[in-house]
Amino acid sequence: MNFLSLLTAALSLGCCYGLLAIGYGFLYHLCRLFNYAHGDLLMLCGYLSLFLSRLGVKNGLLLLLSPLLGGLVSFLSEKLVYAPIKGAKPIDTMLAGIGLSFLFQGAALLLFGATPVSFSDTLALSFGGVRISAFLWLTPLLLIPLSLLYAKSPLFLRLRAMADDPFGAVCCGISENRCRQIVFLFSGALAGLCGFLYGQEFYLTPAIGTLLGIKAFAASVLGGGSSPLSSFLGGLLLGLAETLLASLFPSVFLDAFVFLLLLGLLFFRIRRPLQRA
Amino acid sequence: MPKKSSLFLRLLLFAALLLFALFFPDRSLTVRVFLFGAATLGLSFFLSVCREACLCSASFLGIGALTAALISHGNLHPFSLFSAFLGSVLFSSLIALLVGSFLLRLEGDLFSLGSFCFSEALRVVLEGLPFTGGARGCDLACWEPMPLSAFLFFLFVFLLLAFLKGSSFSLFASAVNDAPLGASAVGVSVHRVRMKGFCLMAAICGGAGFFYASVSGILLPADNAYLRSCDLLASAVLGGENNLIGGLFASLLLSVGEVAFSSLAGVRLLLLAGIFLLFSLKSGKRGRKSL
Repeated sequence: MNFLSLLTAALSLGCCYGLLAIGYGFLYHLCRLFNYAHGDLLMLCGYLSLFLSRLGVKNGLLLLLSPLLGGLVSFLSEKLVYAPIKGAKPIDTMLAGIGLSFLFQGAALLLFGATPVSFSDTLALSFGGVRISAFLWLTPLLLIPLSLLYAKSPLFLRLRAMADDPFGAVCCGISENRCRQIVFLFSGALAGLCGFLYGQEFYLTPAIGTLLGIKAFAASVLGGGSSPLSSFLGGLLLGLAETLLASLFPSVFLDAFVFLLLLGLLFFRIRRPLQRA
Repeated sequence: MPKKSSLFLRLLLFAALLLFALFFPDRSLTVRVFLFGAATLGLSFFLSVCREACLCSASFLGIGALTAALISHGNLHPFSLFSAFLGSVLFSSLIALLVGSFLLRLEGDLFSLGSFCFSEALRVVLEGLPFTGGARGCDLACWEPMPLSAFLFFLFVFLLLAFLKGSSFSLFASAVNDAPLGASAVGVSVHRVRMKGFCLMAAICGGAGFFYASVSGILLPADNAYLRSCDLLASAVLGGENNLIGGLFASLLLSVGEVAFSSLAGVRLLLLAGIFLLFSLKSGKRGRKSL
């Protein structure tokens, strides 16, 4: 593999982590929630897009449909699972996330089987012999309006106000439930799109979601996660590091590197120390 | 002090379990029931002490199994097997002490995430190491399944946890869970209480690992990773927090379910999903805090 191909592969993987990390960043910073099933949502949407593609739906239309599917599934999971236990102990939220993750994985396994699958025709472009994956050309198009929306729009201003001071925001008439639903909708739409693009570039299996989700969360923490751009940069950095390290060291220890990195980040960057007198 | 009728029922249950250990024809399944029962009780105890979802309990089971296999190294002398058992308990506890000193400073979803990372990092490292057999697994555990020893181990764990349930440690754990600041104010070390719960869980899982080695044949690192931890967590949740009898029945279901659904992975995942979702919805609604 020449350097240019290696770089485009690394950037594609980085964009995948980055897009998923933006969703994680939204959920974690705006709702104070770690959605364990976020990576599995990507997997499920990838499979659903593939199913629609095999029914004859064109890729261009799937580009619009996959975020809708992701948003809908995410919205439903908030409405049916997370909303009834809002304010519960973290262990209950975590177990609900694990339950959702198994639900998505089990459904994918029963409906589509465990054999790795991928799209037959892709949205990738080719310039001078270099393959530009859909992740590479689509992500910048998405990232710029998303960053502007996050920084300038009244909608995101309300969401950030809710994250900063929930009590104050409720007093100002902002609905907490509505805010959570919007965040779930946005993050789900991103995961849905990411699932479709992932299926275009890599192979889909029911088990990929958990690992991708954990890596994307690591990316979100690495980037700081306070804005879409910082989460995305974290993902890009992780994707680049992972691909370049894989070409230098035995790939068997590569995942261990990511997990140890996340452990370090958890401990040094976002630890919530136990309250002590 | 349990009531007389309750005590009689428990004695009856243990007599039935002893008969099960002695006469059930499938020795491998019998050992599985007791070893998963013990591991479930250990995890259930940790849940009651720390109220955290631990996703690395199966890693300690794997560490115990691998340690026992490496210590015995195919030697079937009783002393060698006893050393292997002791080694698996001690080494698992030691690893728990090292890992716990970092992990237990996290809480809630971050603790669960940290424990998941430890579990997966360990799996990846074990799959890459040559002396553990790598991804193809270690085949040094060649002793026969021992149902009676597994039953005695389970009984010991049961009695130990029943004793701890009525001891001052249980009170400290409640205090740490309900009011960590208050507990610290009266001199209870929050970190130490959590660490004791974590190490005890690891020691029990490590001991269960010794028995697991005999029934699994080849020890694959992937067998004792995240999914097995979720199985154990599901049975601890199903059995009820710190409920010893409930834990036993849940692990019985788990062991039988594992055999019954061995070729239906999707159905098994959906069942696990159902357990986790129902438990979290039931428990979460009860423990809601208003804004």
